[in-house]
Amino acid sequence: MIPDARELIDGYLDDALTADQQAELSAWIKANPKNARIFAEAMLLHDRLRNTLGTAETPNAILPSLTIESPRDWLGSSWLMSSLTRATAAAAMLILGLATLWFSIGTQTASAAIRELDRIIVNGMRTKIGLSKS
Amino acid sequence: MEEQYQQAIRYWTLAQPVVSAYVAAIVRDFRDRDDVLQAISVAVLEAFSSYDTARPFTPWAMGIARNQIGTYLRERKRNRLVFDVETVDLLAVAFEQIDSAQTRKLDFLQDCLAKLEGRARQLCELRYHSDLKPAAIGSLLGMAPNTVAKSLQRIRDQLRQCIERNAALEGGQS
Repeated sequence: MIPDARELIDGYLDDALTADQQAELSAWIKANPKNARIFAEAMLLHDRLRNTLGTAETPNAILPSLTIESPRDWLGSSWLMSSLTRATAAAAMLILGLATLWFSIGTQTASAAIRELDRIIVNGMRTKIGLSKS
Repeated sequence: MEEQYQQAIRYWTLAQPVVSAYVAAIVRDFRDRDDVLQAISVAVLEAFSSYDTARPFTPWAMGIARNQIGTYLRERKRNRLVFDVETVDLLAVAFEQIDSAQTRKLDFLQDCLAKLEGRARQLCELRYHSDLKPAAIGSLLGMAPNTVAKSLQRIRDQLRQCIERNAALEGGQS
């Protein structure tokens, strides 16, 4: 595997490739079936990660990021901070809190919607092939 | 009829991780991927009566997935970067060749994730739970996007190695 290939794959997983890099990755995949297989295996892990973590309740590890510094740290260092720094930090804290709330609500709603859709699909299929609902 | 239905569910459950990863390779947005995967699930179950059980199931399901992805791309006018048709077809072949042993290995992921701590765990959750890209994660945590991207790359490498190690250990024990 060329050294940059893993970086290109990871860039693709994180949606961070430029058009040129995307073309480079595409050419690499086409160059050898083994490359396509390596890419497929990377996607398999990426997709399982999303399925595992994406449907979990709001993970604890995200929440500590809301507390960038402890209150004691804030008091202790506040004399050194300029007004602009304090305002920026406060805005960042607010954005962080809202973003966490927004994404946690959105994900849970999507998960609930998917579960509901699964239920509808199963019931629909059972009806379609002539089974009574359980 | 019930037997056929149960058989369809059984086959689909086994093929679903591979089909899901294939869809994720083409449909970049996680939520769109979920929608396309739901459409594929319905189409697979609806068409199951036409499936020849003498042939492998996953390539058959992948055929349906390719049709559904084609519909999605046409409807969305491909406003994001995606692979060309030749690459998409090559990837379909590569995904079809992934065997069940390969997907079973990923059952170790949960244990490996449990070993992640601190910033690594946080980055992983922001990426996969909150669906944030490196630039957004970097803004939240005060890190450069490139540093976040490199960290995510290392975390995935660690998880991959952990999965392989656990699978090898289990293989040695059985």
